[in-house]
Amino acid sequence: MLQAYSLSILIFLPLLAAFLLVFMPKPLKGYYKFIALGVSIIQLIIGVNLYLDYESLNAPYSIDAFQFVERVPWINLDLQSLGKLSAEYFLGIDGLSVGLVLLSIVVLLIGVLASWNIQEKVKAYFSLYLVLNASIIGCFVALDFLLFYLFFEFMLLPMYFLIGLWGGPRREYASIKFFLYTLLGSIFILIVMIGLYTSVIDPGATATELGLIADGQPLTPFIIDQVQERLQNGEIMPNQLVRTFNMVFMTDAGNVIPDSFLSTLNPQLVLGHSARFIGFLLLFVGFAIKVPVVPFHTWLPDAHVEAPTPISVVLAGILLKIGGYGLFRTAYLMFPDGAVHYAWWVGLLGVISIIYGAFNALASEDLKRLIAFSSVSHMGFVLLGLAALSVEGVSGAIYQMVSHGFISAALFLIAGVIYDRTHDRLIENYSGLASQMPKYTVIVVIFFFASLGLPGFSGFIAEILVLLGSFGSATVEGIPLLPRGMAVTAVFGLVLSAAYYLWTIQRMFFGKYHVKRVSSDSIIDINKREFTLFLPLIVFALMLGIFPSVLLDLINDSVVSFVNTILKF
Amino acid sequence: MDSLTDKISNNLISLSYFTPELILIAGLLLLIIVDLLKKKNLLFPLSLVVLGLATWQLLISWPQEALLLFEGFIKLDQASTAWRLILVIGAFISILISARGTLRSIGEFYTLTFGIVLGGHLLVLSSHLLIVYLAIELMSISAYALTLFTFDKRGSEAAVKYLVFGAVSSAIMLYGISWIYTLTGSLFFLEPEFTGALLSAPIVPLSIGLSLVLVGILFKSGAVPFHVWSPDVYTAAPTPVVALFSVVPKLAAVAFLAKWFLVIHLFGLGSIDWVTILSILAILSMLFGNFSALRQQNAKRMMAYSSIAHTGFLMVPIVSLSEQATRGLLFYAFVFLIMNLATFLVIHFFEQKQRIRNIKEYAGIVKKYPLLSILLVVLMVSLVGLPPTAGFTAKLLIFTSLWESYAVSGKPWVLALFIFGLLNTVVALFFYLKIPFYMIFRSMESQPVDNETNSFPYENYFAGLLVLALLVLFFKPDWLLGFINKINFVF
Repeated sequence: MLQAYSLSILIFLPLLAAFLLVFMPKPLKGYYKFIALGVSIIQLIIGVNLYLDYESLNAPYSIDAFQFVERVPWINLDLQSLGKLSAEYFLGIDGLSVGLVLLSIVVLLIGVLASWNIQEKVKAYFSLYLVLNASIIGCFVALDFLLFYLFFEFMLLPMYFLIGLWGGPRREYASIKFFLYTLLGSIFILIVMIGLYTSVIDPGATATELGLIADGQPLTPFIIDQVQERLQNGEIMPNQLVRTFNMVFMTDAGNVIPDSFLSTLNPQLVLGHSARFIGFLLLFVGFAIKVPVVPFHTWLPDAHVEAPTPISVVLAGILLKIGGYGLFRTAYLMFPDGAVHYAWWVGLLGVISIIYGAFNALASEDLKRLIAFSSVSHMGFVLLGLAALSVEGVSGAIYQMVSHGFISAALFLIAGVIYDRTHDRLIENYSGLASQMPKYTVIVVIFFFASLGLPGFSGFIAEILVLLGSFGSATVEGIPLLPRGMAVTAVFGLVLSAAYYLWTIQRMFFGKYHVKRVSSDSIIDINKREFTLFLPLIVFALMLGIFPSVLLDLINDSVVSFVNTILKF
Repeated sequence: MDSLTDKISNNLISLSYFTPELILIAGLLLLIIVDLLKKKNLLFPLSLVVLGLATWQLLISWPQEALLLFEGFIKLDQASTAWRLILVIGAFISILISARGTLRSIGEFYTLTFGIVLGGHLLVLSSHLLIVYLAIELMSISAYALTLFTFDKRGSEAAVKYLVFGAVSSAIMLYGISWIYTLTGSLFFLEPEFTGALLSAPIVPLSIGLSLVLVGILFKSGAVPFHVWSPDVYTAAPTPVVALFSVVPKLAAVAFLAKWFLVIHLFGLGSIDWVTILSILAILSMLFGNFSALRQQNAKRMMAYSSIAHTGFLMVPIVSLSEQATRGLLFYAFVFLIMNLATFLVIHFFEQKQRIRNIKEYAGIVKKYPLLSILLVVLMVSLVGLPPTAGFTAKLLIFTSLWESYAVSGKPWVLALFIFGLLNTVVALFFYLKIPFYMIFRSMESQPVDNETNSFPYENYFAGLLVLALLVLFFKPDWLLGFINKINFVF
């Protein structure tokens, strides 16, 4: 019974807990973190359940391809001459999102554990963290654009406070910069959302409006076809149209009102450009800021460097993936023509991100900054794989998001460990740490190798898939979307990442032991709590590296239907 | 030609439809008498009761069809009734805000507030340009006096500034009305003859006349470039008065602008492209309001610029020119009223309790008043227009109708308004977050002025209720929109 509401529970449990926390009296201060931990553990149990019950469905991209679906009417407005407007509370997961939901659950749990030693304003911290938790999960499971947008925006506020209140010395600047950049991106998304929902109809509700089916009766594909045919022939009166925020309906070109702004057949021109291409670009930029793609990445180094360790973990591990996920779910699926038209540019930006991020990482003197730029570089692979629009490329992009989620979480924990001990992150101030912190060194080496794409770790599978995919990218009218040079250049990014990681290991861990500023006694090796943080991440990185089918089986069918949906356009 | 008795009976019949205003007039007189009798304690409950009665009257006498009253000088319809409800509610909450702290000349404060509401009612009801002029003057003269209510140098400076600007703009408007009269021979602007005369009027004198009238309306609604008075007035006047100014006269002027815009738009047949002109003015209001607000140190002054920017947003549904847009306008107006008044409520509380005027003085206030601070954060989020608050829903509605309007007309400035309007949110975020920023991120520099132990004042409940309304209206906008949707708009 509860099974059917799994996704709602995932969202509302942390919200409820946050609400409880606010009203808990001061003397129970020590228990706040246990509430957050309890929520995460319950989420983990639900997540395992989701994983076990999720069945890969070989279905075309439609509502039937989603599982754990919950659909309840939310806002229904009568616009009279413009017909009706409906927004739904519509949740569900498919292969594009299931991996990311599971990733979020794990990383959020690790984030709670990493926050165990937070001392100031504990109540506010964990309340905000729980709200952040809810909005992140909500983003990945929402299938109604308005609902998605609600979660997408709502994430910013807790993040702003979490960076701004518990962050490093330049936290105030970093938090407002993060907020403004992401808000700018979401305004672009909002513009397209308005354009989309005024152009797309809900065939089911419109059928009810037309009297084709009675209320509550199941909708058959035949009736959908009938409604769409009548719509495309212009036989439906404007006041009978039910406009919708449903993201799945927005994907189906048959649901787009023929003479509307974003019409697929004869899109209107805005300032001389096709409205659909502009729509794609706006969505792309909106989410690219979040990914982040060079040149929209400048908020990221600041936010990452200033954020407290657990928040960096969440930021790198999950928040960046929301940008990538948004590209999949909205920009690509709703504007396949734009996706094909701009594939070259998207691929180019991906390659630029890979190379530029890697060079910046190479030049970084601050360990956290280095990891932040390595994130930019690795997220570039997501873009490259997506632009290729081949099954390997898209699978690789999703694989990279999940893999990078685990690895970057570990990398930021690594930076946190050393920062906790010395309050200094400058690479040049350390050398020979291997002799003093052997266990820590082993973990650093493992994750640096995982991140640079050593076979056996998840990053390798992801990057090899992306490279294969972009090398043999989809062809449209006989011309490949991406030139082979892009894949070749991206490989160079791998070489660079090997360079900056190995060089960092050499500088910080090898050689004669020396730490600037701090007396050498305070440098102690990682304790049990820290080790338990790393352990699951090592397991996941290895598991995904050795048994790729764990994730690939889950996503494969959805990826195939994703690619087919876009290319058949 | 009607005989005199017909006219009188018409006026008497008209009076029976005029009960909310009669209640307000009676209340106004009663307040003066009670004040003269030195029963100052009675004034506050009395004014609330009168406004409550007027609200109740408005609700029960909901007109089913449009009526021309007083020989056609007044047009009573559902839309104007909805606007009057908004104005009365605005005044009601403003008076509730004034409950904390003491104003000098409290009796006059209530009387003048009633004057403004009455003027606002007349303005939304008017169908004759002279009534428009009278209504605007009634509001303005009451407002000039209310500005002075701090009785200090800055107050009188602002009041004089307001008076001079206001008088000039009224004179300009009157001059414009006389131009229009020479062209149309009538001032009943809702009648077809008036529209017909406008259509056939020569373009140069027509554009002069209409522009001059527009100046007067824009002045009252605080739109760029006729906004210069408002920052000074907002800074100098007592906060309950500012709260009142920020909604009642402004929304009355906006409501009239919506009506007037339909007249001068002439079904798109006119030779002057008012849509483009108003779009540009709206863009300027948003840009100027938001960018000036960035630099402000004083909380009330910042809110003055914020309300200039919001005037720009209120003009968005007006230029969209559709039934749906007019509904969006009412929704936006209602949401704007709630969030603005709730913000002033909290600002007033801190001003009275902790002598806080500047944004920097909010530092660390979250420690002492956690709930009020959180509520203020939500209010600011709503003013920016982010989910999950009604501020977002309101923006979504008005920009949707603007989008539809652009899809039909394809006017480049409408598109510019759409893009600038939405991008302005980013600028707005920056300054609206300044108060929460100081409240939460900075620690208190000096000891709080008032160290009383009861740090759970009634404002917590009051502001909480208003904020709750904003949240509910995000999750269930259908509840208010269902009500608004029943309103017939004449198009």
